[in-house]
Amino acid sequence: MNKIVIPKNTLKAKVGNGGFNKESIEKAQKTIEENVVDFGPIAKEYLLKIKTAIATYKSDNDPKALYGRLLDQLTQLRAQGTMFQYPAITAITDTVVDLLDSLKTVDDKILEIVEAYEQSANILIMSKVKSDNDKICQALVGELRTVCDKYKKKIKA
Amino acid sequence: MSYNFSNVKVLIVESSQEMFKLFKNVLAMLEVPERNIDAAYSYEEAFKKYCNKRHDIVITDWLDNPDSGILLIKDIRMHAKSPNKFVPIIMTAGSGHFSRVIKSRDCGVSEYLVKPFAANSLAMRLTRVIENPRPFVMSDNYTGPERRIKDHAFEGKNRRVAEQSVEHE
Repeated sequence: MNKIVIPKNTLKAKVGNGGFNKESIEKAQKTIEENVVDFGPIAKEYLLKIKTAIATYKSDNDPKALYGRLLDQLTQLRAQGTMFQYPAITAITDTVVDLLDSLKTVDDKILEIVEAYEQSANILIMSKVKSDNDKICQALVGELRTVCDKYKKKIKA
Repeated sequence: MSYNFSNVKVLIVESSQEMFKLFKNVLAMLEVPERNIDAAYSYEEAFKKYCNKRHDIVITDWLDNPDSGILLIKDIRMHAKSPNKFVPIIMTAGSGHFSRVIKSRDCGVSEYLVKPFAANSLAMRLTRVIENPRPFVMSDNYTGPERRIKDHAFEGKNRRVAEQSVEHE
């Protein structure tokens, strides 16, 4: 049988009333926007994990496990790119995450797309392209999105 | 007057030190004392720290070891050793895809925050868990906030009353 419990609001009792100061939220936002971290090496580690996951798949042949491993690394890259002032990485990762989110497993074509993504992301890092408005970034994102859209159309048909 | 976090302990579970530092700095700007913020980088470390310190808020990443963040939430909500099954848990993830949100909801998350995030979005979620905590459902296979979020009262006969008991903690 289900039981409904109304917990004591101990958190409210501790913090009291008044909400957050507008100034505090502005300062917190500034902290996010001015956060300086060398994201290149961090991104490279995630990209290496993607490569390793693909190599593991080629020996264990478990597409569902690979799907989970890829999505885990890719969502970290998408999230952290913008948080660490590298929106170009978020933009290019977005295309592949969108595609994977619409699936439940991977096949050889997806592997090709992820490998192309991995190379493109490495180009952005090595060229120190941080802005998603950069021409190189836009060209790479555009190409990858076209391939992803073609694949989506194919599986819908 | 604003919230006073001087006695509030926060556990941040992240996949990297850089993300933890960013969260800690953002929370510090929101007036959470840095000494009250603990870090964990894995499911095991997080659950151990939570059991030892009984934090008031848990903010956890999905974690890049498949589903570790989900396992952590399940253990906080269901494990016999969990010191407080009702603690507010905010899940942070790099994907806001429907399937991920539903998976988090079904293991008992209180709020979901998609990264990259704005400070205001974090403050809003914290405000919600402080001001409007949902009643908890406790059953054999689920313990967590009630999953139906109602924005208006149900007008028909409430037949669920007979099926459920309501308790105040």
